[in-house]
Amino acid sequence: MIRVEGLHKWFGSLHVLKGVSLSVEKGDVLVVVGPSGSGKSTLLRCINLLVTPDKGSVFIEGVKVNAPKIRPEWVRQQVGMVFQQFNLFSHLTALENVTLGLRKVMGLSREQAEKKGKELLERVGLGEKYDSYPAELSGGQQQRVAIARAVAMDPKAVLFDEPTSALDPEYIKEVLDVITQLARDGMTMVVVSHEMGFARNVAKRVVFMDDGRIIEEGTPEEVLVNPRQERTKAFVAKVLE
Amino acid sequence: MTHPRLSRATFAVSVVIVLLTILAVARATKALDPNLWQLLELPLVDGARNTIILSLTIIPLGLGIGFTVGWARFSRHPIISWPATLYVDFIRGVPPLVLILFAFFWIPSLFAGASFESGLAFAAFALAMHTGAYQAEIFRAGFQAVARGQIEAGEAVGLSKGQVMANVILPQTFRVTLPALGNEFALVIKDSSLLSIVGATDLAYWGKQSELGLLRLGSIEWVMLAWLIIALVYFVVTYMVTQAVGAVEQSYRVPGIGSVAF
Repeated sequence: MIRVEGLHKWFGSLHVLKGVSLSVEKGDVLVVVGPSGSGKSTLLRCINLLVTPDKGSVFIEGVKVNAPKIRPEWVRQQVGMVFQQFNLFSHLTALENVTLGLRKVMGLSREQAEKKGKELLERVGLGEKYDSYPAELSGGQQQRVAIARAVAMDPKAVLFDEPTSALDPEYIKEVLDVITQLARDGMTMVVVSHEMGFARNVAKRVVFMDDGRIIEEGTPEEVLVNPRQERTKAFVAKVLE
Repeated sequence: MTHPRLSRATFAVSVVIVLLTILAVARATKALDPNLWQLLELPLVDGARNTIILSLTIIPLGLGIGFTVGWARFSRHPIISWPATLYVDFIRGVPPLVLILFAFFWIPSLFAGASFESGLAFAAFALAMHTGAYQAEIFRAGFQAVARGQIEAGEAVGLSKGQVMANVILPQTFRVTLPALGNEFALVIKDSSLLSIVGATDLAYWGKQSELGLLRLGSIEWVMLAWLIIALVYFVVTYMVTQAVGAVEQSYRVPGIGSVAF
């Protein structure tokens, strides 16, 4: 479904990704862990072309997407994204946040978009809140709206960039529950997260990144419980502390 | 947050206070002479009309300049942002009166057969450039107020750059900048009086013109009364504009989007 080959990215003289390769099968959940600054976010942003890779290839269902002929807008429709800071459009209600893309990108009528938007908000447990503005919602509620917004475009996969890191502890579970449910429904996902419980329960595979490289890759058990590499061991020990 | 009903009450009170003051002055100086009104009526109507015309010309022009330059200032390309910065820094450092005189006397001399009207048009444009520089700063702040993450989120759902601009950036910029823009419009209305220096027949011009006649006919109090009436007209025009902007602001208000009180 998603394949990344030999990906490099420089920001100025900073070499952020140093040849990253990975692949995610349809319906699988890949969790990416690693210290901050290791390139996890950049990797996600290269997959939906929010950041343009300097070298290497990204394939979505076999199609090379970092190619001149491919419109980035099209790629982003195929691969949804959920951000650490939610990034809801603050001048729009929860429902309008979900329907904006449906109407402007997919060309749905207002009625069709609102019907679908309400169903999705219902699914993330916010059926009542469709008329609220982001400022009137808790962090957990905002992130659930953001998930509904990403899923609304019927993407082939969804990328999560530390979806619970900016949340107060009491809201983490409600967001993880929604993501878990989405995984159980068969959504292909790449999740940057340090939630070890989530990774162990939901991830099919886990990769550990450090300094722009994938250091270790395997099942959650292999990477998070019995890591082989020293750097992975040190990181896991620190996170579990 | 200003309540609409409270605003109307403030308005009523202000008007009553100003009218009472005028009446008090008029009575004290026995100014309710028919000659006074004869002397003031035509210039007042003509002047008010021209002040409104000038303001309604300069405000949209300045808005266009301000938006464009503000957007250029926001740009990450130095080729675009640098001239805009130069423009803002230069214009803000020069008194509007100097800009007006420069535009009136010098620019038309570059063209053969330039008329008084064209000089006046350049002078009005100079004022638009002046307010444009200030509005550019308002717009730049307005663009910057839209969180970078929201632009990214717009792109992430598949919106094109133009769609992000129209659906994510502009609606928020509009809400954030409105109070400050209303403030700037009020300044333009009053700054338009500077154009009387180069012969625009606005309220200030007629005030100045009437002074001699009023002095000959009556006294210095008559002159003061004339200026008081002119001030009242400026006040009413400005108040109507700021109230209109306030009403727009109110109807687009969204929780969580910065409303700067003024």
